[in-house]
Amino acid sequence: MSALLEVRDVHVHFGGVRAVDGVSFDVQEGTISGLIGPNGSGKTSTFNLITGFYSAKAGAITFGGEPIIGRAPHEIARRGIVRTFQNVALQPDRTVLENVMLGMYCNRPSMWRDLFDTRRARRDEERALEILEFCGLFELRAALSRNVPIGLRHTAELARALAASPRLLLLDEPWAGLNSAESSALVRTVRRIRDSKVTVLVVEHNMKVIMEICDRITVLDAGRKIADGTPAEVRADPAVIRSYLGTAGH
Amino acid sequence: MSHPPGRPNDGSLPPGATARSAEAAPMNAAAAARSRSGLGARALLHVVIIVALLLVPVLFRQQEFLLGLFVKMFLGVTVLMGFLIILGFSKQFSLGQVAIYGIGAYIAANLTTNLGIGFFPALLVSGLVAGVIGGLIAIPGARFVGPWLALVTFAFAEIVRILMARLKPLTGGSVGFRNIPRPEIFGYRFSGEADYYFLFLALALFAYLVTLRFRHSPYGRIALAIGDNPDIAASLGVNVFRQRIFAFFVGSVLAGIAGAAFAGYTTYISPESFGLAHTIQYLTMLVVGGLESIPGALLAVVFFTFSHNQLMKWHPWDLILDGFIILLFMNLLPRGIGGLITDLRQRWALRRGAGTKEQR
Repeated sequence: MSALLEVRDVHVHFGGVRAVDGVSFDVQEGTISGLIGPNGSGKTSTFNLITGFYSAKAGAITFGGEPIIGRAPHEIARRGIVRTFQNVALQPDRTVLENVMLGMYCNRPSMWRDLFDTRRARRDEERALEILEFCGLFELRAALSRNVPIGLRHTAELARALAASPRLLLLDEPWAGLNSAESSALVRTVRRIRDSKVTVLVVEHNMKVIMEICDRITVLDAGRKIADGTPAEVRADPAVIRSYLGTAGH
Repeated sequence: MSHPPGRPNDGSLPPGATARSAEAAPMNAAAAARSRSGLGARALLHVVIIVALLLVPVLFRQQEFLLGLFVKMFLGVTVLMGFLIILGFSKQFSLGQVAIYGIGAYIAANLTTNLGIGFFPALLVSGLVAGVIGGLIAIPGARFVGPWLALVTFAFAEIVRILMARLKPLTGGSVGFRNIPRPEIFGYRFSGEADYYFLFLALALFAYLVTLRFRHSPYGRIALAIGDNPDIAASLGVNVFRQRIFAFFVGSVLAGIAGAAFAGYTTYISPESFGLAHTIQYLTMLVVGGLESIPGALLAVVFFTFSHNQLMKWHPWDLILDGFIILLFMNLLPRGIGGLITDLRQRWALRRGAGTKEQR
């Protein structure tokens, strides 16, 4: 069986810096996969490649068997890959509900009908509220995003991504800056997302969380893949211990 | 619309989310009731304003000057609503709004004077052509953002102004285009200010409704998101390029229609009416109005139309006073009239919310 997402030997170079230097990995449908590595190892650059924000110098990326490399970000999003950003990117002066509703216009057929049919907007709002409830943000629906507690902002972004009905969800360091209660709430949410048949690929520095929720983990260092496997395999891998866990703590 | 297997479609995601928590349900009902009463108040406000505006020409039929002032105000509303969509919502920093308005005026002048086409068909054609030209500017424009787009559109506006002065057979050159026929509808030819009052009121209402529908549809949310951060919009499947062009098109249609009506109103147009200074005036109104607020923009047009008229008595000091008023506005209301409205609304909602809590 072929994987949902196949990344093959991709490169991103900035002048002489090889941010991503020949990385390959697979993401299987219905799993939570992790992409880890020290700072500057090319994790976010890989995300930007998959979502079309960077164009690859070489290599191939296929999603559901279809090549997506070289496509614009919005085309990739419409095919079902939706991401969140490392530096939380909400619209600060809009409410949480408005932010989530933006996600609903991905793949919208005949959008001009919305100009005349106001029932559509009401249905959108209903569904956006359901998603907010799913993510535990229902109480914050009317708050401006700038007033949302820092620990919940990434979750709000995740809710917005869910509104776009993704097939593959890319999360870029969603656990950064969360306290332990928020952290375990997000673990539960991400698991429920996986259980609702959405595949998840997550970049994260929080090793405890990564080892706990991931089915498979890919480890990058200096733009190259150094290990790949289940959490237990990765933890035991000597290359990983040397380059990453050995220096960055345990 | 086909979903790949395993991809959740409407309703199936997220599972269990439909079971709303018990405490949330009454809150939601209260919120709905609140928004419903808000809706009633808003509808009432609209009706009152429209009825009052319809009564003005009946009550002040003899006061041509006053009616002319209102015509100027309605014209300003039509142009500014278009500018609001382009600059206010999608943050495309255009300085070409008045140039497009001018293009609409010259097209209508040519159609009605030289080709003998009726005023209303000419209005429609001018609007559409202006819209297409606006959309064409947005194509290179979408590659530029912020100050760079301002430069590109500034160059466009200058080119248009120079062409107006040079393309004599089409524009009459710098002396202007004379003897444009007045509008005619079912054999009735427009003459007094009151006739134009109703025409321009209808245009302003049309522009307002278009802008309102645009703002509260996905197009508006998308335009605002592009203005906030185009990467966010693209990451959610928005074709940023296309949506920028569309916003520019809609905003330019409104400008073109306004220009065509202006030509039929003054019966004489010249390049002087379409200089950059006019664009700066509209820009000022947008900023004072709060940049992306519809009621803010409307109030700004009302304020500036009447304040300019008052200040004119002290010419040439009026320009300095005008600048002083803008400074005052920016110091007292940095987020414009729209920001003030939002704050008041929020305070009102909070007080109401507190009231219902006490009752419980």
